[in-house]
Amino acid sequence: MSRRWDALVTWLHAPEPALWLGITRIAVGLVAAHALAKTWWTGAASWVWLDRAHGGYRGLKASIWFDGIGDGPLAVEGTLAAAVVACLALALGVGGPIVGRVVALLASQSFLLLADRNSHAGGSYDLLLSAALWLLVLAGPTQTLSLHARRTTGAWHDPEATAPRWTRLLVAWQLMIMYATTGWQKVSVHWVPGGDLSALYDILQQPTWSRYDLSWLSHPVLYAGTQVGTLVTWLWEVLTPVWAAWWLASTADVGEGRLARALRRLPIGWVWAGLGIVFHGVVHLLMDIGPFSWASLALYAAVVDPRTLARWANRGANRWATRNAPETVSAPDSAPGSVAG
Amino acid sequence: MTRHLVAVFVLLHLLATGLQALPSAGAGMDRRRWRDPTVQAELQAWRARLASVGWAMERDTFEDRLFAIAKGVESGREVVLGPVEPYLSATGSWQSWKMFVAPHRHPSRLVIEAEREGAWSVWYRRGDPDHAWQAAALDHDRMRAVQFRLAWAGYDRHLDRFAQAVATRVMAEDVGVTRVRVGYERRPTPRPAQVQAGEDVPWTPSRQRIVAAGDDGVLRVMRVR
Repeated sequence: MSRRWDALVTWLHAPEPALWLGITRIAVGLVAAHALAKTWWTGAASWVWLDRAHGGYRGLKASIWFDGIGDGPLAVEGTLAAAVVACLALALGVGGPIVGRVVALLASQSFLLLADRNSHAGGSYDLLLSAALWLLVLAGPTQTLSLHARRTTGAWHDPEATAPRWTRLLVAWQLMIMYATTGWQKVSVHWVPGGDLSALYDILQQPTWSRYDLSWLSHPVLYAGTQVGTLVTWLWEVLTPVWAAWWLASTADVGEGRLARALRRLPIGWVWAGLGIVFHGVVHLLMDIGPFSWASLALYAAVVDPRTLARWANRGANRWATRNAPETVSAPDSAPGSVAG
Repeated sequence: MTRHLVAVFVLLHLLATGLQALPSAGAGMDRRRWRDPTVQAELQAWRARLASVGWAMERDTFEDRLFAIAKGVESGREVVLGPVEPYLSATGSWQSWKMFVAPHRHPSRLVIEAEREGAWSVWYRRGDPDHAWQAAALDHDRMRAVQFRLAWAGYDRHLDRFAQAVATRVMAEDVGVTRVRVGYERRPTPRPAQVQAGEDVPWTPSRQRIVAAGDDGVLRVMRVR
């Protein structure tokens, strides 16, 4: 037992390239900042986050923060501004292991204060971003692609930076339980195989959530497409544990058994992530459900093998360096037409 | 030692979030919502499926049993999750992923109208660019989440107050407005064959509120239907 536990502790703490964490931190910080700022600039904040006494439509639940500073427009807008600044500072990667965590905590708690303020006005992206911000607090996320890296190493990206594996496990887990459990709750006869598979068609006709008039999806060919989409979406979500098993099997040091080897040979992760990107892209094109697609995709760097991600980054950086390298200039005394060797 | 504590914490976090994310009835425990035609159609379809495999039940029996099962599951969840909910709540790690679990086949859209000199005019209708009063705010996804919820049974008082807040803003913008009507239009989603045949499926008013100032100047809400 003790040996197994020690092995688990070692596995959880194994250092991995931290590039994924830098990408996730920037993406989550920017999506959260944009989500908050948009609530302010559209004027929606005055409807949903102001108490009835100040022009809102309902009495809002008490919180230590708003009880302390008041819950009028100035207090709400001040909190909103502070939350946007904290999220941007997080995206920028301000501070080292301690200050970086404090910045992430400020972003996390200020976002939560607002997202939790009115339970009628929340979206699933609030839950996902709140959870992701807390995971960034735990991870201490400024090792690379950050102001901190720039200050300590002279470069924005520190290729030597590492993060313990448990940080990536938590983020990947968050994404996967979201997909799996939303699928397991899709028990409508219009979602499950054996029914009419009309769920996507009907959802896309809802005036509350559709981005445009999508009645053209009633064309027989397109309608059949929505039925296929319904089935694929349902299977993709419900079978997320297969993705999770692949993720575990493909993570270094795990599973030398037959099943793990078989899983590793299949491109399951790429198929799942690829379908996820297509799914979120289509959702974003056809529906307006806030920044849910962006919030989800912000976590996708955690499902890619960090060594693969680091290889891609190196390849990209090399190409960029080659393309931008100063051209060889002929020496003034070279003969016209000579070729530099 | 720290490494071991971190490992314990990570495992507890995985367990707590995983358990809370598991399916639950949530707002579905409010049986007033079961009267909605979309919900009734789902229940009827599942009852028919069960009957086809030899498990026939009367509607009331089926719904009572379903409710009892859901109640048992919810009670179990409360016992298991009670100790970890303060952590999940304080850190923003709350897990509830009921996203489009069933398509709403009788959707609604918000309509705001104002009466001026005895004539009613539409100020806002969801998705209608010709009636787009405060559309930047009302069309924001947070406001649409509010509109979506208030269209359901069980939110009557909230809808009253929402109508009052809307009327306050409308009347502040146009002092000539005497009454404000806030409510929904609803219709069954046209089936593909109906759309292709050019059949018009009309919207019908629902959950309407009329707001007017009383003699004392206080805005009062009247439920119309």
